[in-house]
Amino acid sequence: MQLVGGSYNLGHLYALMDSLGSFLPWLSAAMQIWILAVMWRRSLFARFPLFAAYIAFVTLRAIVGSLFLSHQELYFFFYWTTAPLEVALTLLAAHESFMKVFGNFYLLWWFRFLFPSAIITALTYSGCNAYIHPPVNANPVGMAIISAQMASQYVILGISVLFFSLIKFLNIRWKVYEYRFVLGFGISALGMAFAGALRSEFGTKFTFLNEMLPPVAYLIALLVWLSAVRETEVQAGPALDDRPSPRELMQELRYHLRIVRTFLKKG
Amino acid sequence: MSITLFLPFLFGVVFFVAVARTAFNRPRRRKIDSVIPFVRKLDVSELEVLMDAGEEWSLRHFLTEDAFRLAQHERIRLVGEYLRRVAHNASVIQLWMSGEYEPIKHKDRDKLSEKEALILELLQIATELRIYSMGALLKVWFWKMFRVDRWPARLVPGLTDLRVTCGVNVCDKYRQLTQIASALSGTYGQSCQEKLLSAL
Repeated sequence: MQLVGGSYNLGHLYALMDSLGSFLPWLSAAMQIWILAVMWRRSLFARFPLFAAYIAFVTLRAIVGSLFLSHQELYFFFYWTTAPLEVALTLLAAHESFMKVFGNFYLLWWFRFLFPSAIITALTYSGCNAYIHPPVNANPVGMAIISAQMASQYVILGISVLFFSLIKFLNIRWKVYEYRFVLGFGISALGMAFAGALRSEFGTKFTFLNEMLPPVAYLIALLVWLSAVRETEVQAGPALDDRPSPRELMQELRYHLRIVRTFLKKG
Repeated sequence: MSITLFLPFLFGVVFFVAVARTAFNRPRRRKIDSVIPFVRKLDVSELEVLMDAGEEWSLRHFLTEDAFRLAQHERIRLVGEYLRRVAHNASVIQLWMSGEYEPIKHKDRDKLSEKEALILELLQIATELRIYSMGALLKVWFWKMFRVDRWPARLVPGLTDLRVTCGVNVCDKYRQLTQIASALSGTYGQSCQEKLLSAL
């Protein structure tokens, strides 16, 4: 009886997983369209072009991908050709918010060079490493994409941690869009990283968690982004004609750097 | 727990702590009236004595090993308390100055008034002191955690080393902070200046 009950419970779990698995992508797509609509209404496309492009891309990818679901080979080709683009857009969109808050640091040639090159090096290394040493019976290109995707989640987490730590330390004014966008990316990346780690450590032991963690984390991220775009920001930023000139930005940067240099000289 | 599982766990904890600290402890711009009640009293000359090399040398050489360890334990606790006050006051003043800095941040540096130049200087000193206190408090935390006062007497670290951390001399910098803060508060009236001076 116990066995029967046990298998009944397991069957129930698989049925729940199936229904959740087919429901979550549609819910996500609907929320993505909602985010795009709110961004359009509030004219946020021009302010966050990469974030808007990322949301539009993942929405389009989900819709087009669902059309190919019955054609296995076509879906396989479509999925793996668009996956690197999604990785790149996710990184660029998270980076966009970082740049908006700490933009004046980008006036430095070495920062402009160092920050993106550190990200590119981490992704290239993990991708190349997986391509050169793929597991037995695995496609090297697919492994390289998966590996780069996993590395990109850690890069996004790193950007998020750096973003919030710098904001706290430098007491920077609360900026609702940028903060919540980065928070969303961080939550989604954390879900992916945890699922990847569980899969890598325990194999198929926690299939439910492995499969459910990333979409649920992404759904939470979508809720955070939706709450951001729906929010009316007070003093969102200087008006177009009121924006600081490059010279003024350079002055502000020099001031911030003076603090850093004081330490470097004395230290 | 293997590194594969530990890494996302560690990232997750650090991420949520960073987010929670930013979101739930959101900095509120302070005016001078809300700075005075929040700063904590700190006599910098007492901190100076605590970090004095001569004082420490006397304790090491004229006390018995056990008595020195006991004294150093108390001194480490005391210096931790003083450093927390430095960090707190620097943070309160940094918040006050961040609000004052906002309207002048894009202004031409050559055209700044005397008050505006002082705002920039005070903001810089407060930031430096926050970096200093982070480094110094980390050291003190380490000493307390590993109970360095119980180590052999010659291995017990001296508080003199704390005087200059990350290239900042805490006593000099804190004096500068109070002087400039006092000068700036003077622009809000004599009573503000007196209240802030007695509070710091």
